[in-house]
Amino acid sequence: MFVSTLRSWFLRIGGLFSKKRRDRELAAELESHLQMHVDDNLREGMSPEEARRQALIKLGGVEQTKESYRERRGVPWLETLSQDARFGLRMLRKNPGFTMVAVITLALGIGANTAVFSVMNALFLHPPGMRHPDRLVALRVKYDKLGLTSIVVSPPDFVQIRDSKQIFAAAAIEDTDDFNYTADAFPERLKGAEVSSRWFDVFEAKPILGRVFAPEEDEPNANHEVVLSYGAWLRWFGANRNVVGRQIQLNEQPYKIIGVMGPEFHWPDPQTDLWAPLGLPPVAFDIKSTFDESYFAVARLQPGVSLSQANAYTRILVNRVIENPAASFAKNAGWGMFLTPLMDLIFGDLRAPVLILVGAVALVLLIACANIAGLLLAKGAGRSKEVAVRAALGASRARLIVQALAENAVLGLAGILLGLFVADYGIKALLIAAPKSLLPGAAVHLDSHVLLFTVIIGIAAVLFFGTIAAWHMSRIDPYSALQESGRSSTGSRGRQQFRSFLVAGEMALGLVLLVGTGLLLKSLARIGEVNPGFQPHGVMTAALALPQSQYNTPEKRSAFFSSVLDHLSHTSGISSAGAGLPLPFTGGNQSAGFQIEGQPTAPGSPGPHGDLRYVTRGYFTTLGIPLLRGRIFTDDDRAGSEPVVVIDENLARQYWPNQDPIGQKIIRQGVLDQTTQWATIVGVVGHIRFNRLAGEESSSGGTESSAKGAYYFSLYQQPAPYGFVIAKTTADPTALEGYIRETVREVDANQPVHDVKTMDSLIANSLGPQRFATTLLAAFAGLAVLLAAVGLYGLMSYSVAQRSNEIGIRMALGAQQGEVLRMVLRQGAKLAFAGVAAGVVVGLVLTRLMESLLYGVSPADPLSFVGAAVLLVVVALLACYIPARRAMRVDPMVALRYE
Amino acid sequence: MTADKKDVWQGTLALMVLKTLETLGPLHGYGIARRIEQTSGDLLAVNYGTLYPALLKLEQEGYISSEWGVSDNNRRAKYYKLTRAGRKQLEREARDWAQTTAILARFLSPEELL
Repeated sequence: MFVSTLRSWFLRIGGLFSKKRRDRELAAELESHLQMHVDDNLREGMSPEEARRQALIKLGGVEQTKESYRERRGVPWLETLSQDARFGLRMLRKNPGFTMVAVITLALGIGANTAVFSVMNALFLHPPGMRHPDRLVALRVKYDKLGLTSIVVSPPDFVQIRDSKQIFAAAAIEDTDDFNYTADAFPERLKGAEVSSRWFDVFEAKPILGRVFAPEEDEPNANHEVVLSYGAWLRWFGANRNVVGRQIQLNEQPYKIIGVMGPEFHWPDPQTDLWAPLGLPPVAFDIKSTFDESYFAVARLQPGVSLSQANAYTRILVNRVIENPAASFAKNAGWGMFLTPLMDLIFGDLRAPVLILVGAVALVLLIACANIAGLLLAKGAGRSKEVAVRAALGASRARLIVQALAENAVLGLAGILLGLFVADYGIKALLIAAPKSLLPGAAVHLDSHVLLFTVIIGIAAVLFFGTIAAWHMSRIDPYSALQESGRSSTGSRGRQQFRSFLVAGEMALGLVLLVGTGLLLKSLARIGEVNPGFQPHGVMTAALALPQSQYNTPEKRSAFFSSVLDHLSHTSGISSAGAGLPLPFTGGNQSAGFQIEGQPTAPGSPGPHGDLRYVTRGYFTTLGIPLLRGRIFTDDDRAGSEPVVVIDENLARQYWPNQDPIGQKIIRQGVLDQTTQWATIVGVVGHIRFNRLAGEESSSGGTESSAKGAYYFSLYQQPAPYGFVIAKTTADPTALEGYIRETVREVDANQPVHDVKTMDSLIANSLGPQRFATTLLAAFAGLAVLLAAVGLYGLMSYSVAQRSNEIGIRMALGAQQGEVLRMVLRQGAKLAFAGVAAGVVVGLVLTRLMESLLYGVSPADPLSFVGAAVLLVVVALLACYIPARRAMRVDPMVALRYE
Repeated sequence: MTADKKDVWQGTLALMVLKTLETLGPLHGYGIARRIEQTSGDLLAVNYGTLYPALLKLEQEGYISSEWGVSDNNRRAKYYKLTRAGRKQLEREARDWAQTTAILARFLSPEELL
């Protein structure tokens, strides 16, 4: 039975097609039926007329028979639906103005949502280059007592995770290290990542050419292989497929290329050029190295293992370390390890701004839908007669609603298609506006998830405005609508009120977005006012890395930096030059414990701790870091002279409260430092903000308290093999790039300079996420207000057109033009104020959600609310002004003649 | 005419069509209609027009099939014939019908009323 039902449905749907042929066939069949009946009647002796008449009566009306036959043949409601859609298409073609405004409005709303969702999709839902991102975790270390909340790990920490196979499917560590690559005459700087052998397994990434590292290659002296990134393969090897197996020179040592990764894989950094095995010596994994953290650790959880289970397991590992009496340091310092979702760690800063933007575009779409609903209602008023006729002819209410929805579905489809275009351009604009560090490569695009999302919101939008319009349409009373005889005036008042309600709602949502933008702008301004503790203007920075093989002694490194700085400071236009490591706002930071002479650290106590920097005299003078006591370094503070150290005010306050630290001696504590000597404090300088202007400090290593002190060693006494060169000018600092490159080339022709950036731009980059969120929110708020203004304009124009009779009468009775103008403006202002009032209430609730993005401004900031309200009311009055002028110009004679 | 009555009528009409085709073999719509009228002893006044949707339904369900042919007096007509599935359906429907009428007969018989 079921099969026959299914079969008949199949045939009925088939019956929707080749209709004409089937109609002809039925006509022929009925005709032959009639003829046979007529033949029989004739045989019974009827007259030809009577024979035909009787046959027709018996058949019961050819047309009715055809109609009931047709209903059985196809699927009637499906046919009417397609009929309705075709009718809708015709209506849209007949009203090009309405269609254009509605489709563009809808496309803007849908496009903005799709673009923002595609960013969210690329960042959080389906980040490129990793499968099952929800199973990826980062292993982090914290020292509760030292103010370190989340830092990188040590090799022994990693070993514990790596060997817990029942919890972690794979684990790896990584250390970023750059390589000098010499191919032709010009040395290049390649961004490298030194990784343990299972790095790629953690991300389940496969090379497109060759292979990745074998475990035995991750050993000291065996680690001279590299895997190229897709970008590096294109740029330096011209996408040559024979590159695998080739030898290249990195840091003047031979490396063999063993593989090339696909374009979507670039972890840990979008700019990574190549990966090489870490090849750590066994001593690094010794238990004594537990507190020597410098590696970024990632792991993949086994399927079925939850994050909380893995974290519970990690706590057991931590307790095992803490309970070991030999590691009392761990207990006293509040040491611990924990797992955090990798996505949170990488994109955590972005989560709040992106969610805010998702909310903002949702509001924009809501406004767009309200606008279209308003337009449909206005159009519906013009069609009330048509609807009344249909209803009078027996169309049921459901039938009318279905018809209205089908018409709007056509509109929705057009909106979705155009919206995808808008989104495509929107995404491109987003990628341009986004700071490079923010979005990994070109991974944001329209994929199937995004398309599905777009279709869903498109349908939701059509249902939203379509239902409003359809409901109103179906409520038209045919009797009174036909009596109104098309003219006049105050009928359909309910509909007009509903439109006013929609417009006021749009105004309210627009206000919310304006307030949000205002709050972000104010925070950004506040952050910009934060004094970083140094003067970034006019400072140019450049990064250098000296190859170990060539610069293998401290003397050679000192000589290099000294002669570069000597050249630079004698260049005209450069007022001072310095060198140091690390540099503020470059993302790096380094901290280490130390010991104060005469205050031995109790065994197991964490002891004094601070940020550690190696700098020249010029680092202070070029950055304008103020000297508070004593002196800064001189050129005589070099190898062989008495070791000296400069501390900042925070460190002085923390460890020498109410004392003069000058003349005190400290020594750096470190596991691998063999040349440490006691150094005398010779000066105290001001504290500087290091990686963030506002809030907790952070660096690629982790986050820590911003009140932490710092101590500086002389770069010439402890010369690092890499560092930054900085130079200051009173003119445009970008002009210094050439000087710096030239100077370095003069000192060592094989030495590349990279990351040449002004200090101002480095600071501006640190504000990237805030600036990005602010720009986008401002754009969406602008769009929202524009749409709301269009809605208000439409409503007022319609209302003025409807009331032209009344206005004519008023003017004939002596109303002045100014009064008419004011009357219309008052009507618009009433709506705007209602919108503002509702918007303030909604805004007070919603802005609290963005508190984490705000700095130095309360979510209920009165200035932002008042400013947004004023702006909105002004826009509203402008939108009303054109219809109001039209009302003012109404000619009483013309208006009355219609009466 | 309410939907209920129409359904009952259509149901019995389908059964009559199937039975007619089983008895007489391939037949055109007009012939089927005439035959039903004659068999009922002119008690049933068949509106011939209602027959065609019923024929279409039976065809869609696969119980009958149709093809164009020529009638006794040389008119082109569409001939319907019973399919194998239609034969089974007829048996089933006839059995159901017999059962229903038997039950109703028992209800309506004078003994039962006592």
